[in-house]
Amino acid sequence: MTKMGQDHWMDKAFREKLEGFEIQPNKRVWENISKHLDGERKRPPVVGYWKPMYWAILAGVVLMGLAYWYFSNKDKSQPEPMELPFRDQNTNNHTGVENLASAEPQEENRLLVVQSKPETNQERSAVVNGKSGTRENMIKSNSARYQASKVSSQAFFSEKSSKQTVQQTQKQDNPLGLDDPNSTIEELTLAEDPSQTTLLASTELLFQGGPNSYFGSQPLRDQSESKGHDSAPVKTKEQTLSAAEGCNVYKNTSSHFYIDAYYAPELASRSFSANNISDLAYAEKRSATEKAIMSYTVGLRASVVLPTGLAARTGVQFSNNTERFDYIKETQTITIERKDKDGNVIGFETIEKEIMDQSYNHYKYIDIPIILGYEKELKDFVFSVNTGLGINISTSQSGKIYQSDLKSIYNMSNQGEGNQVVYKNHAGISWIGSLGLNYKYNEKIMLMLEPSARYYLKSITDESYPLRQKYLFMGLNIGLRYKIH
Amino acid sequence: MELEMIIQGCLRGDRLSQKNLFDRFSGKMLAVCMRYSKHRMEAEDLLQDGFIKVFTNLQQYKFEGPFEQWVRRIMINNAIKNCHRKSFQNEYNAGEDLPETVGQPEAVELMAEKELLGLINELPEGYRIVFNLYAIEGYSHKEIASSLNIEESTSRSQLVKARKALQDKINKYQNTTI
Repeated sequence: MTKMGQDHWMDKAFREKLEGFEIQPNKRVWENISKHLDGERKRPPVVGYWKPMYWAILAGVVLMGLAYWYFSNKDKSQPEPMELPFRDQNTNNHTGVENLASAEPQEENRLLVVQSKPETNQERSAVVNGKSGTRENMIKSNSARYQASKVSSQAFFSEKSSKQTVQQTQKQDNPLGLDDPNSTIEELTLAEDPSQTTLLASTELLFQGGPNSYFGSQPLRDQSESKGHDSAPVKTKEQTLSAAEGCNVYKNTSSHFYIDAYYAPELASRSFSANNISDLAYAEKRSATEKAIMSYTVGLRASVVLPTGLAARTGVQFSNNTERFDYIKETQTITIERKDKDGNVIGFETIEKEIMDQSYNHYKYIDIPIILGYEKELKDFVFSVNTGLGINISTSQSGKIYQSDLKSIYNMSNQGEGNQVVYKNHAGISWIGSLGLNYKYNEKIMLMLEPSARYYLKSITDESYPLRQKYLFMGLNIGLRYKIH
Repeated sequence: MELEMIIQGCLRGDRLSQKNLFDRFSGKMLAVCMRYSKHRMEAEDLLQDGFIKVFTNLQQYKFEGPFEQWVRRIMINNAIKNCHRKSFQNEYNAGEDLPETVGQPEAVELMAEKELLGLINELPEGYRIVFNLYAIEGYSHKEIASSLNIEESTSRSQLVKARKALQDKINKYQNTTI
């Protein structure tokens, strides 16, 4: 290609004469190439085809697990729930506080922070136990909780900053009728040794009631409302924090009802199999000529979630799977005349040219999902695991496919009208599974993110058709969840 | 269908696209392979191996140059790998003293492509490869030497001998047809 110099007459003559010359190969050549490529394909095809899907599933599961771990441990840096000092109603003694005081008599003062709603409600109280144990103060405010948590997580803090913390608390609110805040603050002195500082966080005892609860059986929300607070907590009435499960795991005390609306882009995985060995070539032909392009599902469903976390869901969903069909529209035979330099015809050569075309096939499903699930509610998120069945109520197809003679084109829209029936009107039962991660946007609305899978257990083709055609869809449900009750 | 669409289809492993690509280029490529072979069967074997390499290495094509050139290069490299090393041995300086062939371009013009191919096929393998690479593909002797792992002088001598052999064959052809 980088040859320099004068062109030899023979080189030039041969090059010009042979340039563009074609010889049609024997059909055997393509057959051998095709067989070789089949051999190449047979080793990795299933793995190769499924590989992206495996990775997607694995990534989804890992992400969900990491998210769950992260959010359920987010505030684990806060102190572990401690034994709650509570009021003995019979004796009116603050038994827990006194026990603590007696256990460590050298302490001057203690700051006990009780946290009921870590996020939205942010009910906070500080129980201040004086030296003699006869005086208690309960301080409730958002900043107090924040500051106290901050202090507790750091474990070490100065006496000065501690005082400031409580000072801020009392300046904002004093709902329980404390003594003069200023006098309380002055007496608050936290020991420099962090081990002598006791912080309490999240305990059911306080808010679930019971004879020894500071707040009785009323949740904090009611308490705060009774004190005339406008910024009412969101969930206190129906949810409690579980001391056993950490600060951020909520437990519902009543059932909830939701409406979910979602859209899911999906990956479609299709398999063809032949009823008879003689139809294997047809299965391969269809597999090679029909390629998945795009799939999606839209759905609307209602959910009821029991206090135990068990959930039942049902609704309706529409799915559309689009595939592209590449086919030979027609074959043209081109005859080329071969002439000598005088223009005399010295022979003919025929070449067959295949004219390609495309059509888009649509497979539409309407299913009723019946799903059971389990939900775990955290601070900002709700995790769910769901599985169930989809009952197909309608399946329709449009587009073109090759017929079993491997040449003729079959129009799916015309099936049944005196033509061979290829597809069923009902795809039957499908298995549905999903992992949900719902973000609490506000009290009523959650944002849904739910990797899902749907597998039609039976072939969507008619019994009389020589091939079985089955589908697995992997998708990501993106949508909104609205809390009705 | 556009060539790019066909290539994209081949990259997805679409058999129909692969067939389409084969149909589009197999005629020209078989003619290329024929020049490097002794007979058609050998050429078709080269074509088969070459197209398998095209399909399995298609992801290396970056849509930067003419696709046909890329395919042709694969075919030629495949042919070079297939040739016998011994065909080029003991050729140092041989043929350097041969007289330059006398120009008879009109004689070549009169011959059909298949007849010219027949002349090339009859050449010894070493002559045939070098003549094809130099005269038709436009390689320099340096490139040929590098590709075939031979000396440049060997390439030159093979070319001269090839021309001489072809000249003799053309003369013989003319004598028999007149």
